[in-house]
Amino acid sequence: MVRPDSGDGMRIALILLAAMALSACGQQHETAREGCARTATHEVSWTNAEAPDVITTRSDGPSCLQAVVTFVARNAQGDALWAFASTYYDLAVGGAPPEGAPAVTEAEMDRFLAGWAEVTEMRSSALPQWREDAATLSESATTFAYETPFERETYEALRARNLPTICYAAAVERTQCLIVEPASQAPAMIVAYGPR
Amino acid sequence: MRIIPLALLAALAACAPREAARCDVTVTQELALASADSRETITARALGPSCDKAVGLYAIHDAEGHPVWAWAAPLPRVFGDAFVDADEEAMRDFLTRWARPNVATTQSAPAWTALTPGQTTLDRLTYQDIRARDLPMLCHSTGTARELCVFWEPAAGGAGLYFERDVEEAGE
Repeated sequence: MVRPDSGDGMRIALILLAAMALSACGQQHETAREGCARTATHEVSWTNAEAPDVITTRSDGPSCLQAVVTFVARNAQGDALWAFASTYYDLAVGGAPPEGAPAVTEAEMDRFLAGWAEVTEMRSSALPQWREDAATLSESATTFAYETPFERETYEALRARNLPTICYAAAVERTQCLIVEPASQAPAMIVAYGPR
Repeated sequence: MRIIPLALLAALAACAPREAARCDVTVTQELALASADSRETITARALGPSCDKAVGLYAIHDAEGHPVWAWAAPLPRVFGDAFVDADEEAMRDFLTRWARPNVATTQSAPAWTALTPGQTTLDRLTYQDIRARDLPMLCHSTGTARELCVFWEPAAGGAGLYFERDVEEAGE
């Protein structure tokens, strides 16, 4: 009968230890990937024509049905320009999920996040005109109901500047459009709109 | 033989998380919002390549783990220079304070006539109805001297934005 000598025993013990360490390492990695942590990114020319901004959409939650989703715009230096958060269900379907709502797969979440990150790029001149005789922007617009935090004169001045504008989904039937306000150089929502 | 411990160390080093110096910090806090014996969870998170570039995410989950409210903003933009030299520990301190909202009921909200334009996105009837029903309400900070309040709607099992307002900063 051949017995391992003490050197062999030590070697085997160390190899087993290394295998266990690597195995534990793998488990830690698995744990970190549990739930519905997904991301998508999309580059846009918004605040700087020379260096694209990056839109990152992400989901976090114990399951994709229970995920919180976040929309973040950063400039090329990584500074956060804008952020918005909602629940996946409210943004994708509306409201809160009913009891027994079907599960949301990671593939479905990936498609959602990719679509959300692909903002509409336009110029502020394409936004509806706020006529002088209209009390509100919505009254002036023909299709959707619009809201703006700006007074009419400021809104029309921003529209006339033909500023780079991005629009993203803020609810199932609601869109928000962002500009960089020339005076403050800060990102600002110029309109939010949805069905009347 | 000597090479095996070295290989073991190398394996463990390779296994160690290789995160760059990011500022991803999460703080959770339980509270009773929907009713005295309910158990909701507040999650306050910072996400960013560094703490001075972090986005703040504020979420409320019900007892079943469903998110009922989520809000986010670039932290330096809404809280000013507070994060210029912030490290992970300072961010954790901030998130711990942020995750302790004020809980009240909607009857303590300002009367409709006291609101200024833009404080609420609700129409008058809806605002007054929510106030009259005295629903659970939670107010969390959204920036320097600013907070928003969400109401808990038991019929829908969720929360909604009620109004925003300026607040006085508590003294240090």
